[in-house]
Amino acid sequence: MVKYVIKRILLIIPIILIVAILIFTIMYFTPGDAARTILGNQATQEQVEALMESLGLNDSYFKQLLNFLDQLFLHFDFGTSYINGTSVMSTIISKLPNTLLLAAMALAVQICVGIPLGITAAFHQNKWQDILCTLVALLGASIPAFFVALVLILLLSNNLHLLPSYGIGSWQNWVMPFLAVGFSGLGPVARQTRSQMLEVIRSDYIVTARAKGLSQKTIKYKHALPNALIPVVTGMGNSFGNALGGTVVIETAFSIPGVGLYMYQAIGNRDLPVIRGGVIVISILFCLVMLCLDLAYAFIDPRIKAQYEKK
Amino acid sequence: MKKLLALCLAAAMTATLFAGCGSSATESGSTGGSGTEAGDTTVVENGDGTYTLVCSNKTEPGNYGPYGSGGARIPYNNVLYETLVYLNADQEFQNVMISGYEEVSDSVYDVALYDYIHDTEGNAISASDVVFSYQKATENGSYASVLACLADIEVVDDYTVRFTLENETHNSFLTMLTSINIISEAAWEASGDDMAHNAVGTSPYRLTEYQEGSYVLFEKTNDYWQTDESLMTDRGLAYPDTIRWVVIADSSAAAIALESGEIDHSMVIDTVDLPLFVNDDMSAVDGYAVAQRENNILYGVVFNCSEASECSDVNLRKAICTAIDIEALTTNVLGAYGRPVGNMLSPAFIDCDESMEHLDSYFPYSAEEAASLVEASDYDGSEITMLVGGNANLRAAAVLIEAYLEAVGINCAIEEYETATFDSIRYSADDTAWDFCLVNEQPSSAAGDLWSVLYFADNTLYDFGNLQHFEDATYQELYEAMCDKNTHSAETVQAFLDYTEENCYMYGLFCQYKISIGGGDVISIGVDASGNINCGGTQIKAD
Repeated sequence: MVKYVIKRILLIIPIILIVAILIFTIMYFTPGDAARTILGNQATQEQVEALMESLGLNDSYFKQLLNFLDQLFLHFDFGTSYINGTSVMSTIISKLPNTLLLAAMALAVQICVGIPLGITAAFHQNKWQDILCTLVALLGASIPAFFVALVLILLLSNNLHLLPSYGIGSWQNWVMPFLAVGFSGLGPVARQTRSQMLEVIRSDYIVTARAKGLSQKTIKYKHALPNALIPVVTGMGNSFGNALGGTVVIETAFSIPGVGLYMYQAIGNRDLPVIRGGVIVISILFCLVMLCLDLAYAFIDPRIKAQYEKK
Repeated sequence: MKKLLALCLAAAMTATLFAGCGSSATESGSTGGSGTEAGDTTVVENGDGTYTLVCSNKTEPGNYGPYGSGGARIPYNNVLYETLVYLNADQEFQNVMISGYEEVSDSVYDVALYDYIHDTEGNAISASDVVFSYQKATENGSYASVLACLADIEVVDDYTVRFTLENETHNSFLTMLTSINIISEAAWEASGDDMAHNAVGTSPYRLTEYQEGSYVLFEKTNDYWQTDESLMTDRGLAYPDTIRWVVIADSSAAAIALESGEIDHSMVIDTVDLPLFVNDDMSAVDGYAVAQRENNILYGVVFNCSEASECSDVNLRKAICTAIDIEALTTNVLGAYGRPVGNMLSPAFIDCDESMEHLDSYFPYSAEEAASLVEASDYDGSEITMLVGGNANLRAAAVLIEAYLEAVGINCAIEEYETATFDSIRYSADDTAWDFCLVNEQPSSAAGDLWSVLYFADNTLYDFGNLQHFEDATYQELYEAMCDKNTHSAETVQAFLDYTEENCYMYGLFCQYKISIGGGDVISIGVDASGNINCGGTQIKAD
């Protein structure tokens, strides 16, 4: 098992290499002049050329790529922002906890609310519990996160003055973002749990468990749920990974200084070091999330764990 | 059952839609960021009789150094640093750090500093620090336009600096003195990071705390070097004891925060939300304060006059201008929060006054006249390209302009790009990429920077000539006469504008007012010449 984990971690390196080459190439061919964006439209052509030279933007594609890969893999440095001159690495490190917190809490809501909703719906199929749970799940899947965010702000902040509408100063600042992000991710998890559970509870071994006289709770959580969880866990892992770079809407609505918003602003400004650095950090995190998913599979299903150990 | 479910769902969604309606004008309740609880007043009482002004901005620059590009720096730099001269809200140049200047010979000025200036760390400011500051600004590159006239700067004595200018235009010297922040060389060296975070200025405030992307805190030092109130600008008044700039990335969220009392001030309220705070006559809704300025951000149409473009035909250019009803356009795009400008002049320009003719539209709207101009032109009905960038106002205007042009027989296609791509197309030698484009420019004066970018035939900014791909010797002469400090006058400006009208090289659409909104505890909002908030000059109510 340990060997498997080490092997997976080492596999991240070639993946990041490919990601780095891809993102560099895409940004290289994207129109837009970073030097002109930095200096403004009243800088002379000579000044623009001088800045491009100092930033290495006049070099050939391969030279720039090699410099970038050298800086990344040998010095672990993403460079400095073209716009404000600050270290990209340190800025991302300072903003990453906010994004991770958002993604983690979304995951927590999905686990703590979405899975129980799905289980309840499955075990009470076609009854009012099923309809209610399905309704909640559909609402979560249908209503965009930004709409939920704005409604929460208007209700809880503007009208009721219960919570602050922006920033990250205290725990109160995080309540509405969590609700917005969690509610949106809730639907797919609940629906997938329901459909998997419906499939599992019709299995022969569940019938046997009932025949043996096991309690409903034992049947639900010890026998049915572990077998239904594999696809659900996969979905949640993908959702967490997407949240790492995709919470820009929530970060904008609640003014949370996260990686998503940082990268979104950098794209408009053609701040290449920030874009590259952000994509690579998110790629690394995504690979780690996938690794955790695979380990979770081993935890849930002993057969998979045996396969890892065999390998 | 299913119908009942559908009805419940519809009711729930309708209820959430109405959740935002009927929100009342702000009371003094605040659920602000850290340190406050629901129900506290907006202006945080720090327990010892001091007061905090909470302002919002869309971004935080991440770097509080005195030199750099980007509008995100401006509000923060305005709190921390000072320039030699200040352009106040009345468009008057006020001495800040200098007692005066003398033109010792043609385009050579000796500037006399006060001998008692110090920064917030106690470093005395002398002539060598001024020279150092200008050198740092020059190295940065972002001040190319204002420093273009500076040939040399040198120390004469401890408190006298000599500026030697070249190609001086009528306002370039004073504009330069208002643009470069002055810092102590010792403080710069001690900061270790070019003052990115260890910022030290000469203003009444120092940077005490920040959280990247979240907030910045400035506190009054009570040790401001200028103690003579008769010599103080309104930035030196330092009414608030603490200034807290918070980042609210979304304009609607800023409006909500202002309504709920979490912030005291915002300049980034969208047009759609302004009616919550501002009446149509620009007076403030009860419970708020408003400062409204003519803005020097102008929106206009710029033509590609090269032979490769249909718009090389002056009749077609005039037809396009005449076909656009800029008054209706302004009302549609900006509502009551802007005005049409037919000639790209704004009273916000320091060399513009109402005595100049043609502050109103060059080309009064007339669809019939436009159609006849189209007939008179060589236009063959082919598609002409309207290039539009990322600005929301211009995108809205583009749709309307397309309709106006279709109505008079001009076949127009909109090509819309985000800002960086738009700039790369516009600032290129390719004269086939667009026929006319919608631009927003922010010059400080009628002469100088606007025209040097757009029209200057010997444009040294771009190696392909000016941005409109044409040469006109007469235009160049009129431009130089307008800019030259010895010949600049209302007449030379007028002559330049008249020639622009005759040839229809560009056309102004509208100017958006710069509107600052203050919350319930703000008595008056201080603003500078650009309409940016002057935090030190903003008065707040006592508790």
